[in-house]
Amino acid sequence: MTAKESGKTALGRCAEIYENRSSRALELKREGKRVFGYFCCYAPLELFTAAGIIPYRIMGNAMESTSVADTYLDINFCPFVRSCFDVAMKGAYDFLDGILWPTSCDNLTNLHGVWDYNMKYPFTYSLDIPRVPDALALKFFTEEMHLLKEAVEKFIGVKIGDGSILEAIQLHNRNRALLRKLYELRKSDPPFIAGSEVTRVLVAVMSLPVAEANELIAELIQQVEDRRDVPPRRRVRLLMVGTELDDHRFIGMIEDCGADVVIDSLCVGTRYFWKDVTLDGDPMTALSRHYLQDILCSRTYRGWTGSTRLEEMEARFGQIGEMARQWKIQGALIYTLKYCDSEEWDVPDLRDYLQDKGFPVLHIEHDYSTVALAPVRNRVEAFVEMIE
Amino acid sequence: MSEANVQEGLKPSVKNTKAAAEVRQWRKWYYDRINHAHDYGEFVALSMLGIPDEIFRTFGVWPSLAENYGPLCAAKQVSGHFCGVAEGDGFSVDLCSYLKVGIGYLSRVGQEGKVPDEAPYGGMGQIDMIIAPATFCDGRYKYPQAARRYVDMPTFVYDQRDLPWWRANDPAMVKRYVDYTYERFKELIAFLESTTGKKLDEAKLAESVALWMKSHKLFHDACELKKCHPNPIPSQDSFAVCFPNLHFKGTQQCVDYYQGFYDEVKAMADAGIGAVPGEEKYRIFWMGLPPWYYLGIFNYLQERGVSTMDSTYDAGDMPEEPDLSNPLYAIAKKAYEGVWFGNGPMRRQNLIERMRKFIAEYDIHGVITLMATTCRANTTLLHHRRLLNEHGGVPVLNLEADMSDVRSFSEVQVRGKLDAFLETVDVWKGKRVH
Repeated sequence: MTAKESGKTALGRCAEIYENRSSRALELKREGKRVFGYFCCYAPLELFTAAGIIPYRIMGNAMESTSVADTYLDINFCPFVRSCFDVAMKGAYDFLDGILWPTSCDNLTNLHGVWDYNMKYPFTYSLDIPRVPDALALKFFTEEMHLLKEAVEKFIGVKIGDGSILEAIQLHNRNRALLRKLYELRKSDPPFIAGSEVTRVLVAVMSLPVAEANELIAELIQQVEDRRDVPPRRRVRLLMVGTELDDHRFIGMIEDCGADVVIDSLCVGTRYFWKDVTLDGDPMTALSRHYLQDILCSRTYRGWTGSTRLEEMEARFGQIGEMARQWKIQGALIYTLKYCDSEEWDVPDLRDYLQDKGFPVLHIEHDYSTVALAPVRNRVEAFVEMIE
Repeated sequence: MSEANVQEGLKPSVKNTKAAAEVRQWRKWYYDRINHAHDYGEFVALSMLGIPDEIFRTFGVWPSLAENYGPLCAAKQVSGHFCGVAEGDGFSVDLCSYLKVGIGYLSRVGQEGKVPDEAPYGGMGQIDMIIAPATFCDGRYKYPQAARRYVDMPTFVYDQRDLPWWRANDPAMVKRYVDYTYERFKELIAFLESTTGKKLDEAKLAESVALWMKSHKLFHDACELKKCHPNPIPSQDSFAVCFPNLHFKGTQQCVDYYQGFYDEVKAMADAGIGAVPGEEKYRIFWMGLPPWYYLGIFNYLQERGVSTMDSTYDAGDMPEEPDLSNPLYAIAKKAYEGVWFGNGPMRRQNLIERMRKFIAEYDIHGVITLMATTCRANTTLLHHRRLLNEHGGVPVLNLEADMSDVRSFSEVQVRGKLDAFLETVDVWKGKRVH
């Protein structure tokens, strides 16, 4: 049964999928479809969709202890990938037909070897992503994308035509456009949809085939625009910047402290849908350009020869600054996971950038677990009181 | 700096070879030269290990490396202080302690308006430019961004791809990585030409590559002597003698140094002289980074009859003889040949076969690793411990401490673990079949 057939509202269905993420993927598996798991925003989902494969975002479980992973992974591993590995070892991802590993960061790159050694999937592939987004890197990365395409073709036994890729790009661009439209509904005061609700929506969207997700979001937008039970107005409007945050309880805790998260630059957030794939010329080049250049993640170096520090800061954080302006925020919360080096290195610069624009900033370094949020709550409460 | 920032009691190491003891003078000379580079019409680049030294040398540019200054500050017991300064500026306690020492140092220079008194060896030099390769770990391209908070100098960060180990046996794929790096090196040359006002001297570069090959061969042959019973190169020496290879590649002095080192350890090996007086009770492999603030740990082990050996900064494999008609391409090519320091990407994964070979060839009874808490490239040790237990036939001890930040180290606790581990090794040694 698809989400729509359940008879619930779109928001209700998102909550339902959120609580039982793999239900739809398992249904589709039973119908003979293939499902590939992927990490982070750098997975070219369009290629999978074009190949008739359902992309399924791998996430951890922030409410579960990492009892198994702790015996395999060093103490200084990113807690998010640790949790992913833990739930995978406990069987959560046994249904996957394949996994794509982008070389996004040290943690993912190192996890790849440990994961592959301990769990076998019919298909596994590592996509090598340059650290800089220039023309030479684009050439290298376009070749990488073609190699990935060939590997997928070999696995499914069918060539993936340009027409299928174009169609997939259009589907995923629609997905991005719909999510941006949903985010527009957070500009009002109070926002039409709460941040904790948005997390549920995004997690649900990342667990469905893109066409179904699009249908769900379109319906959701309609519901949210018409809703009479708009979330209450809270005291402060916040921007949230940082890493993987896929548990609604964290933003729920912020809401309990009297703040609305109205805009974000997070992995499960705008980072993966803020820009469309620009369709001009060869679709594989268009996809490569998008995934190399358009995703605003700290893992990509955005300076250039001759750039001043301020110019470089603008290239790294300008989009975030623009979000802050448009969504009329009053403060920013930088959320980093422990041992996420690329984000952690950025914190002092990002803090300065936002403070220079007049926004108070709170940095929370977190361990991904939402089991005990009280210590964080104290800090957020104090931050909200300070802004008021 | 308050007295509380200086930890007392961690003994420095006592070297076994003259060559290792001599490194202290090399370090002093190196930092003296960096701090007076401008007097010689030379330049200083804040940089990272993994850069092609030969190219820098051709332009008269001295790389000033936090990965070297961090260990130095650790040995002088001031790394915790500089890390603390960086953390005060907002950098996380979990970030690489080598690089945080660099940041803390730069921050202190900013505060004082001069090299702070607590900075060993007169500091990291007056920085003219920042150059870093985006390879091997995330810190390598994030550190330059962070450093610009304190020294906003011309910056060049170039992408050099890590060669995934599963592609290492595919010549066409390796060539692709070499070609990409070659193109990046051309950009590096353009940057160096514009910042130094000098033109690339290809003949000088070719000469530098040829000299590097010579010193590499000598260093390689010397390291092979660790296989001898007894081993003449304990780890306290090994972690010192790498210095000329890391900082003077491509010079005649470097060749001369490794010739002297080779001659010395060859004579010891021929005479049956090792680091451990009398019979080596255990031969222990130290895998990965050492606690730089306490290299005396190897003497502690040595006093208990342990011969330590490592390959962390060894010469490693011998690259093919380079084609010096295009020295720039030769440098790019050798970066992807074999496993040696500077092409570390292949070290991270699939280490078990290499480890097994090492255990057999070097007759190892046990393995000790330091789970360097702030090093993200170094996070698969627990996995390798499992592999070694399953396939290596030797016991493994994982020590949890940092490589450079002394604040998380407990000598008493570590010594207790070492003593208990040696008892385990003793039991396993009795059971060993190979």
